[in-house]
Parts: sequence; structure tokens; C-alpha cells
Amino acid sequence: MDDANPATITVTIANPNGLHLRVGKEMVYIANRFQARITAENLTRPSPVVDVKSILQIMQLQARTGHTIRISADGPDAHAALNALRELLAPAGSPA
Amino acid sequence: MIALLVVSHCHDIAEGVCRLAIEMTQTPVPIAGVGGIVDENGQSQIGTDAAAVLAAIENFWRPAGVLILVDLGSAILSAETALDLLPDEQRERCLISNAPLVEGAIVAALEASLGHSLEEVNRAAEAVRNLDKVLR
Repeated sequence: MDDANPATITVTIANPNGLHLRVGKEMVYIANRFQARITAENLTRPSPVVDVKSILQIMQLQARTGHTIRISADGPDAHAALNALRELLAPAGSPA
Repeated sequence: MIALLVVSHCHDIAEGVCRLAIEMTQTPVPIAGVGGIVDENGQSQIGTDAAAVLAAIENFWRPAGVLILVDLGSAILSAETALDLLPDEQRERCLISNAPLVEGAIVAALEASLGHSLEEVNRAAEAVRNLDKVLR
């Protein structure tokens, strides 16, 4: 990840159940720890750009296993926020 | 922290929605369900009971407020009747939500767990109405 703001990561959903409600919930709680504005978009199927601080909006990603999600953050703690979300969705050592 | 009260015609729905809502919380949120009516044989039947709703509100009432999530029809009427019987200062901090029951409870539980106000939690829950389930 470079230091540009807004920062962006892409992650592929490895969970066999896709981006389900419980994972979505964890994303919301993580996102709410940060000041940054954090948005996500499903690159695999048409989706709106959603606010990661809202469970309702995250569910709009309709992300199944293997879908690629782009998460962007803008704000003073953007990089920390993205690192925390990546650790949730694609922890180091997990299969890509 | 606000409290959530789930009111359904069906006891099992009320219980199930509460279980689902509790799953969405990170910090403990007071969540209670009231559903069905008890017949003369002590069996749970489909229906709503304003007295049971009132008792639940009285148990769970707190200064931050109580958001009441309902299924439809008499669940709303029973909730309204219960609110009529509350003292003014308690009624003012209770709100019957226009959110759909299941999705609304999921969103409300999470938002309440984040410490948001009664009005903020209800706004987030009611926003469910504007979203399509299936992307087409």
C-alpha cells in the first residue's frame, strides 16, 4: 500500500459463506473505531459504493466467495483502518 | 444505551428476532421480545397482548429510550396501547419504528451497541425500507 490518500486495498472473499452477516458486523465495528471515511465496492458484480460503517450498506455488496472487494479510506487514520479490515477479511497466511 | 423491544404476533418470531439481534451486538444491549398471546390452557397462540408489551417496556425502560420494533397490525396497536398507559416522561423516550422487523432489529441492535441515540438508531433501522434485497 502506498501513502496516497485516499488509500485503497482490494481483497478477495475467501470465506465459503461469502461476506455474511457476522463478518459484515465485524467490519462495521472495526470501521467505527476510525475517523476515516471508509467505503467499499464489489468489483465482481455491479454494486453501489457503500459506507463500511453501516451494516445495511455492507450487505448491499452481496459479496460471495471469490468476489473481489475494493475498500477505500480517506482520513488521518485511513491506513490503520484498511490494515485492520484486511486483517479481518484476508488475514496474513490465509489462502488468497 | 437504548433498549430494543421486539413485538410480534408469534412468540417464536419474537424470540428468534431477539437472538439474531443479540448476535449483532458487541457490547450488551438490552433486547427483549414479546410475542403471541397465552390461551386459557397456557398455550402460546398467534396474537399480541398490550399488557405484556407494557410490562416489557416497564422492565426495560431506560432514560436513553426504548425502540419498539413491530411486525404489523395489532402489534402496532398493542404497542400504542402500552405507550398510552405509560407515564408521560417514559412515553416520551419510547418510539415505535417503521422499520421492517427482522432487518430493522439487526441494524438497530448494531447501532445501539455503538452507543447511538434513540433517534439515530431508528433512522438507521428505517433506512432498510429504501434498499433492494436483490441486485438486478
